Amino acid sequence: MGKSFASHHVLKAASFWAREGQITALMGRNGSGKTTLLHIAVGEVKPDTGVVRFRSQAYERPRLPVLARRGLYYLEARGRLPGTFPIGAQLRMIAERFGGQAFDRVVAELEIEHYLEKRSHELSGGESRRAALAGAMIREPLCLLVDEPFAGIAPKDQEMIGRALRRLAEEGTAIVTTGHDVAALLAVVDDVIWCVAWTTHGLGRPQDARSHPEFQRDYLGWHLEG
Amino acid sequence: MPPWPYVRAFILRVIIVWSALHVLSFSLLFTLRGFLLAAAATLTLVLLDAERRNERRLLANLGVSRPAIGAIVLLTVMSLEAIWRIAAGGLVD
Repeated sequence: MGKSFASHHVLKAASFWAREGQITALMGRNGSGKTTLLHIAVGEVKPDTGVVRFRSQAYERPRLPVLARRGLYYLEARGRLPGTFPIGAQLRMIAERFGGQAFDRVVAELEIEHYLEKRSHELSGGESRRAALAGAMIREPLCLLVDEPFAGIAPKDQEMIGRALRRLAEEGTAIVTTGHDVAALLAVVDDVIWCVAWTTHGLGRPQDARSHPEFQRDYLGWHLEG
Repeated sequence: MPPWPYVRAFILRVIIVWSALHVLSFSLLFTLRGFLLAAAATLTLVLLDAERRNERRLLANLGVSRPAIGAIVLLTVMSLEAIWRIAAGGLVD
């Protein structure tokens, strides 16, 4: 993928992939193009070059509704369910539309039983993030793109979200995520892609990423210590 | 097609905005130009505020495209206008 905004290059030759049953993390400094890559994948940003492939089909102009019908689900950073209806009603809409059988299990797993009658604007950031993730899990998508799932979330909730993502991946969903919460991210992902200098580098497993000298120096920074 | 609760919500919003436009413009019957402006204003007000972004995202994840939502809104506006023209037109006559 290549993308520039006016004369400002964000991506020149970048790519990412989602593998069945695996969680892949896009990591990199602010402005390195992680979210832009996700936006390109769901058609929110038109790339200058490149093509999106999903389930063996190439899309020059991908559209989220089209991809969603084929099994994609996208959760944007700080995105939440709309406040139009109570959380429970919206989760049931998702379950009814896609025939998801996991409603009760997901609600218990993400501990949102007490919020089902509330609307998302009545919830805290962490609660509404869990509710939004519950929608994705009830959908049981083939591929989930989730931008910064751990941002601004308490460690206990990060752990809960991490466990839920892990369980979804174990059931076969290909997950791509982003973020800067290094400890929480590297604890759950299988594969790390580093976004840097307008391109991407596959660093492999989290332990390989941690020991990658340039990644340590240019991204992890102080995380090296200890 | 969006889930029915969303369809009902869109229709309700259109009725509110469309009624408000008629009241605020002091216009019993719109001209064609007035109708087109009112339809555009309704689409904008119903679909483009910040909270609607979350709605559009959820509906997109449910496989519902923006044109589909826009079509529901426009169909509702046109139906309301048609019903109103028949009713109010009769009154005017």
